Parts: sequence; structure tokens; C-alpha cells
Amino acid sequence: MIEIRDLEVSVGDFRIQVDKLRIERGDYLIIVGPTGAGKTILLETIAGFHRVKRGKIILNGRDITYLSPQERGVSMVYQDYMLFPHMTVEENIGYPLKIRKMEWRRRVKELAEDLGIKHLLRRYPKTLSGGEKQRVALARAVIIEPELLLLDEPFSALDPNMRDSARKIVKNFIENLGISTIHVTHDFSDAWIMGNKMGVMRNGKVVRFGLIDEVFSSPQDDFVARFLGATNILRGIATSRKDGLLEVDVKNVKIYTTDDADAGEEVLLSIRPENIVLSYTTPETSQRNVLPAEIDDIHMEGHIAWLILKIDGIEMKAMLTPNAVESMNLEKGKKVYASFKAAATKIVRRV
Amino acid sequence: MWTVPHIRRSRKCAWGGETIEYLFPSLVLLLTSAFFGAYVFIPVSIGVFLFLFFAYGNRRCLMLIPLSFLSLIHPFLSIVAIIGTLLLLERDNFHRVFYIVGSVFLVFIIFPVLSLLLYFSPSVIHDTSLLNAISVSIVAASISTIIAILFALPLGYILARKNFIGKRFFEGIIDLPIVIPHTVAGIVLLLVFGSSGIWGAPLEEIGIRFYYAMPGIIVAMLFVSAPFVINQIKEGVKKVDERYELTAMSLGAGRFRVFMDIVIPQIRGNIMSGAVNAWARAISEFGAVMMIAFYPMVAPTYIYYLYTNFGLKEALPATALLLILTLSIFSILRYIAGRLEND
Repeated sequence: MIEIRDLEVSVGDFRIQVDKLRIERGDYLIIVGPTGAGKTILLETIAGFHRVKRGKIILNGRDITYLSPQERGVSMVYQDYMLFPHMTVEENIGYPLKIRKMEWRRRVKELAEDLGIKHLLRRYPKTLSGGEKQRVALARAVIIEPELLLLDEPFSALDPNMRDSARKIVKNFIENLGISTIHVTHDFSDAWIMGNKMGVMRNGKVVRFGLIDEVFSSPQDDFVARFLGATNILRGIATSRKDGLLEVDVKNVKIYTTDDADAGEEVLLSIRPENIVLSYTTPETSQRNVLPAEIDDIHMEGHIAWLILKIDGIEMKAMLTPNAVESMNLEKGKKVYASFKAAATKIVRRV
Repeated sequence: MWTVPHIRRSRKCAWGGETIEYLFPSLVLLLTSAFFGAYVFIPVSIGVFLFLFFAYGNRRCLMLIPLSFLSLIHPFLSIVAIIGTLLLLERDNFHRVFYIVGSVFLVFIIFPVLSLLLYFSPSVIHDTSLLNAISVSIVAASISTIIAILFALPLGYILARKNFIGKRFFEGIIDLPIVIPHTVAGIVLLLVFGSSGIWGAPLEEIGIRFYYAMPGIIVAMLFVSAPFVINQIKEGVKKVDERYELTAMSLGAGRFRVFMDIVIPQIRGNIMSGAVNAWARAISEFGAVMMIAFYPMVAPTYIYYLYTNFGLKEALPATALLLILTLSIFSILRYIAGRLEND
């Protein structure tokens, strides 16, 4: 279990401030965030590479805030792996045991076998491929059975088509060992495949933290919602409740949501573009939000068609397949109905 | 069938391109031998032109051979064959000018050194004072290099890793011994390490004497040669990503352990080449060493002593021996340093 309380660190011009972060034994926490959010600095702080200004880091009941890196039982794997270039793969993996004057060759062999890198033991790091380097770095990091494993964008240096298999190998390996892990990434696939908890960082702060699906399905914060997907974010004022639904006035357009807010309160709504259905006639469905719209623009992005809709004074993005656009003969300037469920409309922030 | 490769080879001969060039070393060789007179120039040039003929397959190279015999009329006419080589094998005027100017400077270094070697005679190895002086030089330079490395490791590391106020100023201070006149360095050292100096006097009381003694020689050598080691180690540490150290620490190694296991093996090429340069600088130091300790004589001091007391002719054989010794040790060490750095 690791717990971070009121942590504040500054490194050069960067400053990170984490009020509360807690994961349990065996958890796999994914931290996402834009470049410059301070993700790597957070990892390095937990590893003990930066001086903490204030706050506490508690690992399995032990206050490690001011311990030096070698006393923490925390292993860090950098994005570019940092394999020692003057040591063979075997010496690299065995280094943590060698320092402790423990028998290392046998244990190195076992680990290398588990990770399928036994044939590389005599080689030097510069002769390895990205995926091989990664497995060597991982083996080296876990050979002392750390209480916490830190991974800094472990898959970003790999070929995109190798990432899936690498994710599976790493995931199974870490799961079997049962080591708590914090994994920093900007790739959401990492999150879905590997993690069970998720944190979103921005400007040195963790702005959202929770179970993965929880964070994705209710971002709770306009930055998180926007970062996690090209979601429509609308600002409106909650007016009244009807039939268990809340009516929100967005520039005189009435939108219904199942979420709750007080009347007169200003709120931010999020509507996922893939939840918007378009039709030429008023649809006869249970969708509570049916709005007359005009297509302002259409643009293709690979296998996705983005439509910009004008609904009175507001603008919304809808996501369709290029096939649908063609069969419905949708064009710029056409008038359509945009409909979406009240349940698909979330209040991400109560201003 | 036959002409196609022939044309291609002669083009290669003219333009060089990515193929190995023989023209520049040939020019240096010809120019150097020209200064030794016609009887040296003619055989050397025949060898060079034959080599160029076989290397490039250009028959016109053979036409240059008769030109070299012009030097029999007057040594100055060697220039005709040299210019001919340049005109024949290089078409680009820019390269012609740069080749000739560049080789002239190399000859400026090579010719005097070679002429000195001609005065080498094996009888100098019976000169015990010379052998003594040479061994004092080698021992003192080696000790001063080892001391320099011991101080340069921490200093170079701090300069590479830390940022502090006045860093540039301190870096300038380290280079100071390289830029000041060596007699000035000698006076400065004499001031503090002399028998009545601030450090020299108390140390002399406990039995470490600098003035006219071995420690004085070592201190003078250390002063002028340490900058080479410090700068090399600083550059080496800069090239080692600090995250190697951080990673090693998180794997359980303490700071000193990390330095020994992770940093030093990665900078050993820098340590070695810094040490080689410092050692060469130390063994060649005369000004500062002579001022603090004329005796025991180091090799440069002994040569100066021979020259001032017995004239140039007496000094030449000893000088030649010293040159051969230092050149061969220096080349071996440089070769080792290069191998370490390439690993």
C-alpha cells in the first residue's frame, strides 16, 4: 500500500502538488496526463530522486519521504530503460543482488526464463531490440522483489505493433509477482489493458483519481473529459427537475440529463460524440434530447467522420462512420435532428 | 571491356570521393624528403610514384619519375615533381591549394623531428646522468598523473553534475595553469612551496622538502598538467546520463558504489586519455620544474644543462634519445586510450 499526502516538490520550473493518492497492495495504477504535467517527476519523487518540500509518502506503513533511494524498496524503470552499457544482460539483471552480496546467477536465470530472454544473457545492451531491453530492465527492477514498481512510459520506445504483445507479457509477469505498480503513460490503451486504477495529472496536480472505468465514464472535470476524448463540453444553467430528469438551459437550448444539480446552478455538461444519433425526421425513440441542427462542417479522420453541428447558438461534435455519412447523404448545410439519451449526458463540473 | 574500368579508375584518381586518398600523404612524404637533398628525394619519389601508379592505375604517374631527377641539378627543383603530382592527381584548384599549404605545415613539424633523430647514437645509453634524468622524469610524471586523477575525479564530477554560482569562474581557474607562462607558474609555486613558503616551511619541518627535491618536481608537474585530466573527466561525466546513477541507486547501490560501478567504467576512456595528455605534459615540463627544483635533474633540465655548458652538438644525441622514448611511450598510451574510448 502506498499513500501520498499533501506532497509538494519543485524541480527547476516544475512544481507538483499531490494532495492525496492511495493505492492498495497489488493495485496497478495508471497515471495519464499531457506532456509537462509532471508525471515523471511524481515517479522520480516516489523513487527518492527529488527533495520533497513538504508532505508525506508512506509505503506499507513506513514513512519513506526522506529516505535515500537505495533504502526505499522502490524500483524505477525509465522510458529508455537505462541498462548499464558496460555490463552484460546477466550482470545488469543481477546487479541489485550483487550489491547485496547475494547469490545472483541462478535467480537471474530463472527470471530470464520467465521473460523469454535467457538466450540474451551474455549480450551487451546496445545489441538488443527495444522489446528485449524492456524485458531486461523489468527483470532487473523486480529481481529484489521491490514493494513498489514504477514504470515511466514503458512502451513508448517500442514499435507500435509490438506494444500489444509487450503489454500482455509485462501485465502477466507483474500480476504473477503481485507487485504494486505505478505506470505513467500518455497512451490510453495501456490504461484499459493493464491498469485497475487511474489518475489524471495536469499542471503538477492529480485532477482525477479512481477505478479505470469510473474515471472514463464520469470524468467529473472538464479538463479530464476533454483529455480523455473529444467530448462535447457545454456550459449551462440547471433550471428545473421533471420526471426525474434535470433540465439544463444551454444558451436557450434545453438539454436533459439524469445527473443532479441544484436549480440555478451553473454546470458543465459532457456529451460523447459517439452517442449522438442523426436523422432527417423526428425520431420515435426514447431519446429525451431531440434538437434541430444544421450541419456546419464534415471532416474525415481515417475511419471516422466528424460532423460539426449548429444547434441555435451552440456547437456540437458528432462522430459517425463514413458509410453512414454516405448512405444518409449528409452534406454541409443540411438540416437534421440530433438526438441523444439523457443518461448519456453527464454533468462534469458544478461551477 | 578493358577501357571502362580504366576510365573509372582514373576518375577516382582525380576526384578522390569516398575512396581512400593517397595524394595528401604522398605530398607530405615528397616534401619532407626534398629537404634531405636529391639523394634522399629521388629514391623516395620513385617509390611514391610507383605506389601511386599501382594504386590508381594511372600511367601518367610514371611520367613523374624522370621529373624527380631534376633535383640533381639543384635540390630546389624537387618542387617540379611535387607540383606535377599535384596537377596530375587533383583537378580541383581549391583542393590543390589546401593540400599544398596543409602539407607544408606538417613538414614544418616532421622535418625538424626527423633531422634530430639522425643524431641519435647508441652510445648515449652509457650516459648515466641522462638515464637518471629520464627515470626521474618518468617517475615524477607518473606520480603526478596519479595524484591528478585522484583529485580530478571528484572535481570533474562536481563540475559536470552541479550548477553553482561562479562555475564558469572556477572552470577558468582550472585552465589557468595552461595559459600562464611556465616560469610564472614556477615562481608562484616557489612562493608557497619554497623552503620559507607558507606551505613549504611547515612541511619541510615534518620532512617533506619541495625546494630542490622530488616533491617539488611532482608539484610543478601536477600544477601544469592536472587541467587536462580534470577537463577530460568533466566531459566524460557529462556524457553519462545521470539517470543511470539514479536507477542504480533505486536498485540498492549507495552513492560511492554507484560512482565506482556505474560512472567510472563508462568514463575510463576519458580518464585514460586525460591521463595520457597530462603525463605527456608533465614529462615535457621544463620552466616550472627547473625553477622549483633544478636538481634532481629531469630530462628537459639535463638537456638544457648540456646545451648551455657544452653546446648544441653535445646535446643532440641525448635529445634524440629523449625524443624517441617519449614519442614511443606516448603513442602506445594513446593507442590504449583510443581502444578504451571506442569500447
